[in-house]
Amino acid sequence: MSLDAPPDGMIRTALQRLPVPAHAEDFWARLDASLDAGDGAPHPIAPAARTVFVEPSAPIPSSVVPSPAPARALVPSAFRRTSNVVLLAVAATAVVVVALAGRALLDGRDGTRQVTADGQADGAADLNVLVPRPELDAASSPLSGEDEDASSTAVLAWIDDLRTGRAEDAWEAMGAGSQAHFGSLAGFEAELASVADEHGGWSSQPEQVFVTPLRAGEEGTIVVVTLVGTVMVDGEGTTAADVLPVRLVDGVAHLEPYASAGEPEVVVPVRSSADPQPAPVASGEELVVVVPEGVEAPVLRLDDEAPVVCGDAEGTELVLLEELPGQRCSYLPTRGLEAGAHTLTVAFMGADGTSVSARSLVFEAA
Amino acid sequence: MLSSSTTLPDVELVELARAGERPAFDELVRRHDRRLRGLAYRLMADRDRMDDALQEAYLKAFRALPRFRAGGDFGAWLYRITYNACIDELRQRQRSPLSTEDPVDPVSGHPGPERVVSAAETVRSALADLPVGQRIAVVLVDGEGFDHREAAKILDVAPGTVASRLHRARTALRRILGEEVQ
Repeated sequence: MSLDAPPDGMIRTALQRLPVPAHAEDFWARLDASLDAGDGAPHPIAPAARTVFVEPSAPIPSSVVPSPAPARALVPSAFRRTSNVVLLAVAATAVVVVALAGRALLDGRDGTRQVTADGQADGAADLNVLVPRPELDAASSPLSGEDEDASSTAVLAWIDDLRTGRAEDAWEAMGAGSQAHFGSLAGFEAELASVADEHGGWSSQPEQVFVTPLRAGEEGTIVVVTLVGTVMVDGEGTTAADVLPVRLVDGVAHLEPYASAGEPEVVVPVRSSADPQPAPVASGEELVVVVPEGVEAPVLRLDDEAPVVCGDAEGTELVLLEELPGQRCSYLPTRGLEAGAHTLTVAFMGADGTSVSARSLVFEAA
Repeated sequence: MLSSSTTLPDVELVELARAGERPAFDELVRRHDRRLRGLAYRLMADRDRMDDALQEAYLKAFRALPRFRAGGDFGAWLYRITYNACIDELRQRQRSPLSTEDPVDPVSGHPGPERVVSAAETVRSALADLPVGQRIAVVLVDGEGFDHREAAKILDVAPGTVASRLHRARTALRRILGEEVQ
């Protein structure tokens, strides 16, 4: 496939058969009125393109109002199992794919990133408000095998604690941020049923477990553990994903599913209120997420591929939304999306360096 | 509209517009409008949506004029803004569903002769069925005559990405259109 291939004659002929309509009669009058009204008054920094993509009847995405509530998992309470032994076996045999992206993702960051450097191709980029890139801990390094195992095993064990009602064990497995969310063991016990509803279904042998590092520092190493597998919904098996943040300190994993840094919103793939399954995504379509303002360096991960830090890869720059609070990051693998099922994981840390949020979902690429 | 501005080159009109001369901006927009209508209509496959996207694009362009690089290619810059406005419009209204509006005559905006409409509808339907990324690639290269590198610059993607999307778009269009255009 040559980059200099000439236009396709047949296609060109076809396109020429498509007439280009005139504007509606009032088009220029409307434009004049908008300009006269000041809608088009030049701004020192023009707003970003509007990107939030919602059902016409759907509520405003929750991401626009950062919430302390944790990300919700799509695991029904009905799908539970009783064997802790099975869980441990799952932990031991799960496919643990670790992103050795620590240095690649965390090295060489130099603060503010420019969208483009030359030419008029940056015309639209000029419309966007650039978000400074953070300075990250230079001491970050790839996860050790022990840390990978500790993270995934801790997550699966915690889920089993929920399922079997071992509130004290589940409480102690959580980090300070998540414990603070409930306030006390008694507070956690009061919420145990709903927490188990959210996460307990993963006693159903996740088929894949991905461990994605976010940041390493004095407070420990933050990773998110993505679970992918089949869960039962209304009596039928369906593929689903869940993701849980973990803080590793001296090799010990502390779960932080409730130390929320705000809600991420997955814009593409689109999930409507009427259908819990996202609409299929075209192979050439970008994945789009919205994260709260102030969040720096959110990480996207497609399946078990290398994580992408928004702002590092071409076309993934963080862009402030025009009309709603939040910032957008879009991503399309260079080869596009292969047809079939995929898992998208989104994760980021809060500005306080301790809170962390994550979301994952399974979708189909057409 | 500045009557004397119609013969000025883009670069001079841009300077006037940046200095606050609205008529100069009007002239710039009208000068490039037909080409941008072609882009927008092929992407949106709907005249009303084409107009909505172009309203948004022209307003954004006016707002962004202060940061337009002096001496730059205004047409390519406006093209990129229009493209982004179209993509936003498509995302707002979900997948770019095929319009149910009546096909229109290219000049009057009213329904045209049946035989013209039939061929145009086939093409419009085929385009509407393409993923947006592929659709824009084929419109830019095969419809607008940009080479891969120019299209890549407009889209801010690698030339190889354009080539890949174009290949898939052409394959799909040939299959859909079949004998229609031969």
